[in-house]
Amino acid sequence: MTRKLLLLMSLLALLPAAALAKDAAAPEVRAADYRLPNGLRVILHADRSAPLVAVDVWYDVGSGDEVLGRSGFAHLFEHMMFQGSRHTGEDQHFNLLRKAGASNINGTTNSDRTNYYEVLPANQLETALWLESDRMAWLPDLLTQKSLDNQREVVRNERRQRYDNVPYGKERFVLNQLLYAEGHPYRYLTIGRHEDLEAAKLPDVQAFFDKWYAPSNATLCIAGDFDEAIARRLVEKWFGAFPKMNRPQHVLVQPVPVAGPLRQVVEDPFARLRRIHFAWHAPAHFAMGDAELDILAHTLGAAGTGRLEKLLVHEKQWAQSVSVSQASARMSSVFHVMVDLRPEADVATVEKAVLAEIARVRTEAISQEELRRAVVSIESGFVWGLESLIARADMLQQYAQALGKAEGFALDLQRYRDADSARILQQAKAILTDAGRVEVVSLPAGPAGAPPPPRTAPLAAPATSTGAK
Amino acid sequence: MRNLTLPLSLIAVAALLSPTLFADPRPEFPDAPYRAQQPPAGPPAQLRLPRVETFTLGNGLEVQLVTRTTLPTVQLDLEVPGGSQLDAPGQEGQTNLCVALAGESTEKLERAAYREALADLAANVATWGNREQMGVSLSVLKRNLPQALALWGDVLLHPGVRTGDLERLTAQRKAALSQQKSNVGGLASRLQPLVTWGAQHPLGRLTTDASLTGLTTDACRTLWQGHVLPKGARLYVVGDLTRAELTAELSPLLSQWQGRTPAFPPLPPPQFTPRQLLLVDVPGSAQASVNVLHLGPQRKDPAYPAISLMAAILGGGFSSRINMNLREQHGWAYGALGNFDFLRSGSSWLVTASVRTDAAGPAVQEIFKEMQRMRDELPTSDELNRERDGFVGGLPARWATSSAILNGLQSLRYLGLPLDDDVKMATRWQATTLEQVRAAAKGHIMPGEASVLVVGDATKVLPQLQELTKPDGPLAGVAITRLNADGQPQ
Repeated sequence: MTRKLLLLMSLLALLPAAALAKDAAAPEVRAADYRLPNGLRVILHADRSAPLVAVDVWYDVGSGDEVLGRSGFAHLFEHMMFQGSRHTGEDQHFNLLRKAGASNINGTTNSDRTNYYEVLPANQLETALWLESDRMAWLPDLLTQKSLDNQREVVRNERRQRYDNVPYGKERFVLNQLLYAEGHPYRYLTIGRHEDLEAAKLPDVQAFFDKWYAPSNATLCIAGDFDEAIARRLVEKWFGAFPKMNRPQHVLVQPVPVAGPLRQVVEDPFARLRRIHFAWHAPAHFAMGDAELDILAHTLGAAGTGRLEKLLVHEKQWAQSVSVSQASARMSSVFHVMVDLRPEADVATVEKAVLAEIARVRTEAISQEELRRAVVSIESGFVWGLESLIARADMLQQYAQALGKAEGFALDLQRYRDADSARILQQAKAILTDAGRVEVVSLPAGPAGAPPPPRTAPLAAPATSTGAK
Repeated sequence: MRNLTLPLSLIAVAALLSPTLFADPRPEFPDAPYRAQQPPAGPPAQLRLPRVETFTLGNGLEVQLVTRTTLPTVQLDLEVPGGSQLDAPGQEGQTNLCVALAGESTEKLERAAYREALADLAANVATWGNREQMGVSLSVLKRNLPQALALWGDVLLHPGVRTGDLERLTAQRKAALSQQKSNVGGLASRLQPLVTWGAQHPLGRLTTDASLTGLTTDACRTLWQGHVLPKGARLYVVGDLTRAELTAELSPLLSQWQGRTPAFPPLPPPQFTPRQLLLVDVPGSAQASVNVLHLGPQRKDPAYPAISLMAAILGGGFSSRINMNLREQHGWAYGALGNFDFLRSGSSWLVTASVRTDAAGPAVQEIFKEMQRMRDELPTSDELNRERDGFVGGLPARWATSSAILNGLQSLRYLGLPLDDDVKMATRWQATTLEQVRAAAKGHIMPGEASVLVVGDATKVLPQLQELTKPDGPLAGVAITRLNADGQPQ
């Protein structure tokens, strides 16, 4: 660990649990943050505590940038990025990294970004830069119809494995269909519709690459055991000669407010427990109100202490589990309240109990004790979140994208320390309204052997879903 | 502002346009000769194993401590032999239900108050049980260690074990069980141990609604008090504290905590039945889970270096033959894996993949083909070099974080291996030859003995399985057995 990171940690350690004062020390995870002349952003975070290095490339494109009829394309494209480029050979990416001793290799796509990363022994840093620069520049050299057909099937199998063939896969699509009108890119899950995946053509891959995979639309983060001067030289060697291209524009779509309450029942052939899932549009990631709703989610749903968890799982024993979360994303977040029912519970009774608690947080401020508890838990989560090198790299990337600076840890943490119960109340009032509410209820679909119920119209998805390769 | 914010009405217009219309023509990216080759690696770092202080406290508790100051955190885990192997026949699931119950509250604090006390410290105290062990773990920021350690000690010595919590946990476990039995993935993981170890074996017997019924708080207290004892137990601690700090914090606990935990009971020999073809029906499934399994070698087998390299080439990661075949060549699966699961007393080999329903039979064929080919032919030197270098190069990551160190120490101890096993293994991997890898396959990959478990839509899968039993199929002449979700033949 660098001395600076260590310093941050000791600052955190000294904070008493109750220290929520606005003037609390502002800790930071240090990183150099600069751009090459071609627009590639570079983040260098040194930590020499283990001989490892994480290379993490973010492209500022996700399923939120997809056009109608091409849902799932950003993620399908991510798969193509592993198929080989001019100098690295067909389907050799994993082999090369495996031989180099990489311990973690993957790519993931969500609504707002696509990332590619590898964690490898520090002495192999340059291999990662070679691979990442080659696919940034020359992916299309090895694009073939055969590899697209293959990865389309792989992705459709991924969808089957993670959505179509598991309990509560269906309700995720239906929920976003209720939240986002046709035309909003968050309407569709990142994984996409089967028919859209089938429609994807080779020229689409080339066009998507040309538009979004420009150096100026990418950020390279190197975290771990390296010498900064050497790393800068290597970045220049592998990426410096790339041309400057215009940064592509995102079309940020305002969600149409829900005219609700809306409620839809889904028959789920793989569910055995009924699920009640409420959701509301919420402020975008890092927008005013986002942190307050994180705290409120904790107050309502934290394991063991959350109001709904205590009431429904422990006291009434109507619920198997309760989960409350603020799923933050660039254009619009979603506040979720999800309850899986015990077999003997009554849906209407549980719905009433949840909505009564929602009404209460709209009218009464949460207690100081609840606020403190949530912030202590979130602060602690920040510290544990620093353990993994790749998690730290992703955090620096997230801050660079959303806040304009990689060193955003203190700013992020400060949002929670600054939150007060009056502002949380205000957010609950504004966001958790009856008119803005959607609800999906999943019911077990009849006896085993019954045909699955007919599917409702176009399917859709949570903006935060992530498809790993 | 580089981004365009549009009302939804205009988006429909934009969406009609092809994505190509948005793209600028891509300029030339200048190539360079040095890009044609993978850049050479620098000198590898020496593998740094953690410095472990091992000592015994006054009550006989053995401690392994690794002091690390990289983060202001402390993680610890007390571990004893136990877990589901202790379940009496007909009471499957009750040991780990009791373990969960012990973690719900303390004698002094009921669940709600106990959870609030933990939450105020942002401390996580958890009881856990697996097949052969159980324990109580704690993770907390260092600043809250003393209070958190007191709560951890209360769970250890004075767990609440309350009737209300037992009833609720039992009902939750039954509900979770019904959910697990609804789908392909849940059923496959439920039934794999049954097929591997046999229906009467402690590792193979299945938890059912009936077997979860009947645990009493008295029986649970007896189990806990009889097993969670200091002599023979191990405490692993990793984090920002010294031996002196740790012993000072622990000493109030030690005087009241005395006794010896029972050793690992010997497991009976496995009751694996070779060449079974088992089918479990999940109507309407979009995929089928295919599983090919048989027993494997001991972890201490002298040929382990070759065995582990062979398993990696065959099924161990993205680059493995089985994944490349089912995923990259055929597009039948999102992924496929094969590996040995090493226990103290032996191991099992399992290849598993969730595949398109119409590919269930062909996928089993291909898995058998790859297993046979591994025995018949030498691997390529590229394959061997890739996995050997990957193993050796990947070792530092196994000891890079506190969590990894904790898991690493527990795993070595469970398997009876020394701390420097990785160092010795690196040398032995480097000396492994192609012939030794093939010999490992011949000795331990057994397509002629393997059993197959398929979970999926039976109307679509059954005809495919019948193909496998034809005279030229991998399971020639084998009768197909239909199982229900509780593993009983139908």
